[in-house]
Amino acid sequence: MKRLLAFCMALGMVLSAAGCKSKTAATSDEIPTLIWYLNCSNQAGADAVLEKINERLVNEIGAKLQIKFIDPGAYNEKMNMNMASGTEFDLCFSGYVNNYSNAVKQGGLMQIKDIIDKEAPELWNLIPDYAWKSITVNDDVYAVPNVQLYAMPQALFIDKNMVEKYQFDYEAMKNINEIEPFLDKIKENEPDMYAYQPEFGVGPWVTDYETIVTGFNELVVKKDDDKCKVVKRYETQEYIDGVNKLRDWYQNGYIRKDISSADSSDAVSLERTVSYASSYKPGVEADVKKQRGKDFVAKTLSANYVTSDLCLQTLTGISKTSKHPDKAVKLLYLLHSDKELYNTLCHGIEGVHYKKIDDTFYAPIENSGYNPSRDWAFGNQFNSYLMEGKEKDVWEKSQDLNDSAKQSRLLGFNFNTEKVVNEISRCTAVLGEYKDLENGSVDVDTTLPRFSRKLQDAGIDVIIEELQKQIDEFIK
Amino acid sequence: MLYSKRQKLSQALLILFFVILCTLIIYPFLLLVGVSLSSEKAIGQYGYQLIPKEWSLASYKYVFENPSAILNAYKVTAIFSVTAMVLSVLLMAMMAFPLTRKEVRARRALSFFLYFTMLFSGGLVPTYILITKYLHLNDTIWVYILPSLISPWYVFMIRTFFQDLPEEIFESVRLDGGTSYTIFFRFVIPLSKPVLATVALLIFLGKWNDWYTALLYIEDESLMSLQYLLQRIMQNLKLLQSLEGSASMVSTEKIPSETVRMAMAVVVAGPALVVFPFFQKYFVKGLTVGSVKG
Amino acid sequence: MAESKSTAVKSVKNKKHMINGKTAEKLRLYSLCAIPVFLVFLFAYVPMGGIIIAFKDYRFNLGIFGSEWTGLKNFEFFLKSPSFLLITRNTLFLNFLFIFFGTVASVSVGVLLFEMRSTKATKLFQTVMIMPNFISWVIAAYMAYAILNPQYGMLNAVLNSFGIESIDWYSKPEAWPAILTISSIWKTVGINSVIYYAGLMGIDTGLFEAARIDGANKWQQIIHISLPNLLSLIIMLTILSIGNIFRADFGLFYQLTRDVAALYPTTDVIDTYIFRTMRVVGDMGMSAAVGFLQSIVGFVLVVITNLTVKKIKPESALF
Repeated sequence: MKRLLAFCMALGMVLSAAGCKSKTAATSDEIPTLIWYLNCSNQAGADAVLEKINERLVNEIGAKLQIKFIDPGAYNEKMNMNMASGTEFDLCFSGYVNNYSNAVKQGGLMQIKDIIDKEAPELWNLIPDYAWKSITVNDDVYAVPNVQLYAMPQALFIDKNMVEKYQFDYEAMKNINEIEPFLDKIKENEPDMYAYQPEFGVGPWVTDYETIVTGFNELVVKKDDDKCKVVKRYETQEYIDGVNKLRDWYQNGYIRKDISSADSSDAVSLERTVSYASSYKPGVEADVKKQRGKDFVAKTLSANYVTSDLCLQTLTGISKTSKHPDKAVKLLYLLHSDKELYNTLCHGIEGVHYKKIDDTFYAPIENSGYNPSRDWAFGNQFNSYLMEGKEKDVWEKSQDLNDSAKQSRLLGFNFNTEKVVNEISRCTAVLGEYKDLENGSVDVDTTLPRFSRKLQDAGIDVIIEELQKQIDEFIK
Repeated sequence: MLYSKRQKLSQALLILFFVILCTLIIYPFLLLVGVSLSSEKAIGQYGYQLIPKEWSLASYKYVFENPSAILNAYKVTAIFSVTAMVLSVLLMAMMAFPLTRKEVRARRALSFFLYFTMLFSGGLVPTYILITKYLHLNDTIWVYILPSLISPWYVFMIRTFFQDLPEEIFESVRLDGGTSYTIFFRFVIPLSKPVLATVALLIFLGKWNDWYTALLYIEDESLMSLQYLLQRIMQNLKLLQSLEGSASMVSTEKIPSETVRMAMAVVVAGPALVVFPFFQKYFVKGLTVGSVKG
Repeated sequence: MAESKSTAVKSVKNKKHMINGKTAEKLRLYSLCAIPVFLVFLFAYVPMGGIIIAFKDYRFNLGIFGSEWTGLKNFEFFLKSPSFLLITRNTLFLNFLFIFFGTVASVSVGVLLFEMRSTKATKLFQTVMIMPNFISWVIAAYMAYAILNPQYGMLNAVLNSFGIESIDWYSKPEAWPAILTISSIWKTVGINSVIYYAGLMGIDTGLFEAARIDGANKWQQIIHISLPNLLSLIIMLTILSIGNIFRADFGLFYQLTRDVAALYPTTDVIDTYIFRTMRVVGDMGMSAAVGFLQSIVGFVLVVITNLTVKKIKPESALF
């Protein structure tokens, strides 16, 4: 038995030694390879594209680029593991997945303000101030924002056929309540259709407020409040009006009766939904048509507005374990400044992966093996070629929306949750329990007070106190 | 053998009972197949139907769009499932047997040693670090096999069976000069065909359906397991369907999604069902002690 | 022939103290389990150091050993939560239902299958019953939705044909312990009955012969031979299940209920609650803490059960 044990140990050591050897051999004196984790399904043609890019990179920054494609569904888990286990890599996408604040808080990303100052000071100017402000944590920066449309207004989307059939003048709507007569007509004449799908919850009614902590929608600040007083959203008049309205619509039959157990993206829902609220970006109508198979028109309901949360959706972070952060930063600078390089990474090699139609437009070649559709992960999306079929001024319109947007006073505010972690966890659980308030399927008069009480018991006032304290400190 | 009327009746009742039971059990499965063979539009209009209102193979076409990837996944999954099954059953039987022998004084301690790991675990992160940083098993086929070779649950199950084997067999082997090795390999294993076949089947099924291992440890496309590959297809579908990924598709056809989900489930489950009868032949009614005594 | 046999026996007897001596046998037995023990040590015990994450403020850059100790702080949010009692009760109660009814169903089906004379029929039925095991809970949840759907679900269609009005199952929390138990049995009865069937296979057929000759009918044979012989297996599997009684099969509880808030009072369990809380503040230490609690409770329960079993039927005890 002892011999057997010894043999096994030896085997184990040999295996690991063998593994180690092959890794060290590759990276001794050669040009370093930057590893970039991307949440994008594998692109077969990536090798060819990267080869072309690396020709330039080797000369300009002294490094090569390797992209590791991770399935979007697995990306969060994978990056969590990578960071938790100290895996060596250089860049990774962070934003709506692989949450930036969490990554910074748990020590997965590297501080790069000094590196940017040293290696690529021009980068500061290539990205809007408010974006930089948003990602500042403790006076330092841990990622580079990828510019895209941030200030998306909320809009109401309505089935074009229905609008025409019932002659609903949607353009004249001033707020969401004015859609009611239309919903009524739908209910009367189209019994199989779902007049309104409450996916966005009470959002369309509370457009005057902004969320402070991502995912925690019940603590808000009024957009035009200079003092930034923390308010319980569920106690505001707008909220109460909103949930009551949703309740009315539910009872009147505008919202499907089984909304609480239904999946809003299943085949039936997509087929039968007549109207719903969502974020708006220029050109989104074409995308909606692809998703739902029908034409939808959109009517904006809120003003464009920029918050930290919106700017933190698409970033590229530098890993704490990166051995070449200087080269990584340089790479990002190139991608933000060099249109040709950026578009190669976004769309591939001209003629092989896409056809260039004119200065602005391009058309991807089907089944070419490279079509990652990740403009917003590689750099400034406004530098990207426009896909054929979109309107010429999509980027201009988007940029306008960004620049003309009012900016939140809380841009760059990061709530340090250390002292109230328990209360936040408990309150988050309560929020999940009462989500039905926002789809009209529960009686508001009895449920809302219960909701309020439960949040009280879970410690929401403690959170508010701490939050207000930190906000006051921030806006000084 | 002549069956009395009463026996025939009870047999008939038995069969009726199982027919009803199986119909209930299989109903969701039939629904699955039905949805997978339907067109997406029909699902949108009528919901799930047992018999499709509109037949369509579009979902299967979508799943098999890249047949080489799926076929490769079948191959890889079959290889590691079978390997794991064989190694695992053998090693776990080897683990279980000493736990039944009185000579092994440490058997209580060993049982506890084994069981403790069922409840307490260091968690995903240390295991991940061990497997990737120290053992470098990631992106190899061994990561599917090695870490899960010994499952305490099955070891205890096998141990229970071994305990029920009659002691006379062992005594007679000893008298003939056999060692524990002889007892184990020549008698215990053959006599335990039912339980070993059951465990082998369960291990095989577990491995066949494994998608989590690939998610964490595999980046190499050619080593993806079947279930994981299919989950990916599903994720990409969802993505294409959502507004985010739609920029990439040139065609304006609506993408089949629910039907594809069901088609995938059929694609994975199908082969495993075919395999099951192979195991059934080991479920042989127990050998009598008499046959060994002779 | 006899001569060589006696010489063979003699030479074996001479070597007896070497080959068949107690120590030699002990070594052989230990050698059999050496590799498995090593594997368990490597893959289960080496990483076990990670348990301390539950007691630390885990930071990626500091690693497991460098992160700060926080004592029992990570446990607070769960233990002091107002929902603690409810979700604990749900978890224990529902798991108990699953274990109890699941065992009854699987043993019954296994015994009945064993009585079937036609092997072809047996094989067919087993194949069908094992099918649900291949479907993930995500898919199974879609199937359940198709059946329980308030608008066009099969169950309501059947009720309607009997003149009963449609019921919105997703707003009736009282019905769900039953629905969940049935679903759990549906998924596992095939596999578990196969295990018990194999157990019955292992019973010496001589016992059945003897009983039949003595005039015992089928029913008596089942009660006096089949069941008692399955007892050690049943006990063992039950003890193992008790170890996980504080853990929930996440797929079952989350997917099947479609995370409908109205059903939380009877279906919210520890794992789904944790999943919900971690959505905003994703803290590894906190989820590790809950996992640790689940392990401790399961462990204590198993030790208690095991001691009880030892008093009644010592051979069936786990350890």
